[in-house]
Amino acid sequence: MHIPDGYLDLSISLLLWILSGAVLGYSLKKVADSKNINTPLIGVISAAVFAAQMLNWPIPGGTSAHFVGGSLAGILLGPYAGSIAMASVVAIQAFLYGDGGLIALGANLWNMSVVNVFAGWYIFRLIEKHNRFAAAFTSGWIGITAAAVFVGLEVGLSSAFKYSAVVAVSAMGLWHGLLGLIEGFITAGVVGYIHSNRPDIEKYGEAESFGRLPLAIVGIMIILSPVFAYLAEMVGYSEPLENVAEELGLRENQKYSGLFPDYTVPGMNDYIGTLISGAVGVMIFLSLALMRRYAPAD
Amino acid sequence: MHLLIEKTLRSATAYFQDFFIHEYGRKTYLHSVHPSVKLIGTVFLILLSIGTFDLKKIVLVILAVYILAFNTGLSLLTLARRSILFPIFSVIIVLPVALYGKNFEYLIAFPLRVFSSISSLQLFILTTKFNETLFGLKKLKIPESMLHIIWITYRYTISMFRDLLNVLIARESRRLRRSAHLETLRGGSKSLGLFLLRSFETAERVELAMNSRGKCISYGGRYTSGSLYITYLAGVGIWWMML
Repeated sequence: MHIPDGYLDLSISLLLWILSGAVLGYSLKKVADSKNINTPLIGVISAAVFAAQMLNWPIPGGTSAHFVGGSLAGILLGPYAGSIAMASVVAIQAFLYGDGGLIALGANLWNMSVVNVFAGWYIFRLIEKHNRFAAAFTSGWIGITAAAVFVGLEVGLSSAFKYSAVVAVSAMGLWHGLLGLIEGFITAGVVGYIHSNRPDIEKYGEAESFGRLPLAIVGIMIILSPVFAYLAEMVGYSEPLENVAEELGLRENQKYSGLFPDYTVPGMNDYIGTLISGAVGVMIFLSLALMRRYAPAD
Repeated sequence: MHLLIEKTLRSATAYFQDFFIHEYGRKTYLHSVHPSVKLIGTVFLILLSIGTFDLKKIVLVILAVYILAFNTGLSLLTLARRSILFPIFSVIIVLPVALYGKNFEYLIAFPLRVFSSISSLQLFILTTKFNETLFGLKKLKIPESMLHIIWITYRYTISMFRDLLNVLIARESRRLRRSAHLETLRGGSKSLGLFLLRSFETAERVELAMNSRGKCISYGGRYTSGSLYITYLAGVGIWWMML
């Protein structure tokens, strides 16, 4: 589920950073305004979800699946605090374990802490009135499957990844649709247990005034995000650093004949080229040498 | 149920090892560079990696990362070992499409881009403690309330895992017969429910304890500006553009 760097185009990564930033920023504000939810509560529940993710559920055939918990976090804490809790887990996985990339972190936050949590919460609230167990099961199942489908869409729409969106979505969606049944079952079990033993805990997910309009806006953003990603890709795939090199006239000679042929820069005045080539060489080697020289003794 | 515990313990052991590995014992130049500078530098290296499919440029970034690691005294083997898994997976993923399109350069370039990006990130992780990462993020204006939540999550993960394991082992000790998969799922869900209830209680205690201490969380430290690191990256960047 975690997308590493290199799979997504820069335009799509940037778009998902912006979308995630907007939703998570608003969620942080809602959490700060809340009387029930506080920082330690979200932190500890995030740690609990993180620990629960390490449970390996044996499934027939000798293999195992692990729990993700996005929908559960949404049901227990509400969509805003739930998304912050999942964002905390995803951030630790990226910065501590390198699980998922840095440029792709926006996409991972979008999939696991926005799509999974909000989709799971919407579904739970929709079905809850009819059957609580079915609501929690569907929420866990559809939440994780929706997140996987979004991963497929984002990767499939990126031109860096040569498979089409249909192939990527099918591969991610079908597999997670099956594994999601376990997620749904566990979510339903946990929600049912908490409901029968400590129903007062449910106040965290319910007592907050969530507001219909912001929730509707987040829902629309989630639904439209693949369209935005498609449009970002349609604007034209280009590599900004390559463009800079072209603008500076540094790529006129495509045939490689050494980094600085005759200590000059192809396409540049010889004297300036020699100066630049000398400076680059000195920069690299001097900085390397000084790093050793000034490294702390301990 | 014992399968659930055994498999969980096995994978968790591997996972938690990283808690200690990332706090690499030996102090190097890179450890002393300000974490926000290292974060920006890492993003720059990843951008160089994913900004092209040109093999020469990708190899340049990989060499730049590994020379930097070698020069600052990090184990290249550790760095490579922590970066290699996903590129191998990437080869398997893109193999059919590369073979079908007879695009063998893509088959090499795509996984190398991934390898280069992951190596850059792992270099950052191996030379930056987690509190330093948060300090760097704070300097980059990430909201402090978010950083506090991440910090509490980090600090309580091992403790929460121990609690979870206690709940599972207690249930296992009361088990008299071999359980089917469905039964394990049902029993496990109940255990997880109990664990989450306990987590809410822990959260209340943590909040009270934090209130009594004044709710102050500090990740700070003293670092160098990293001018040599910046110079090195600038040199690599210029070289990259000229290739």
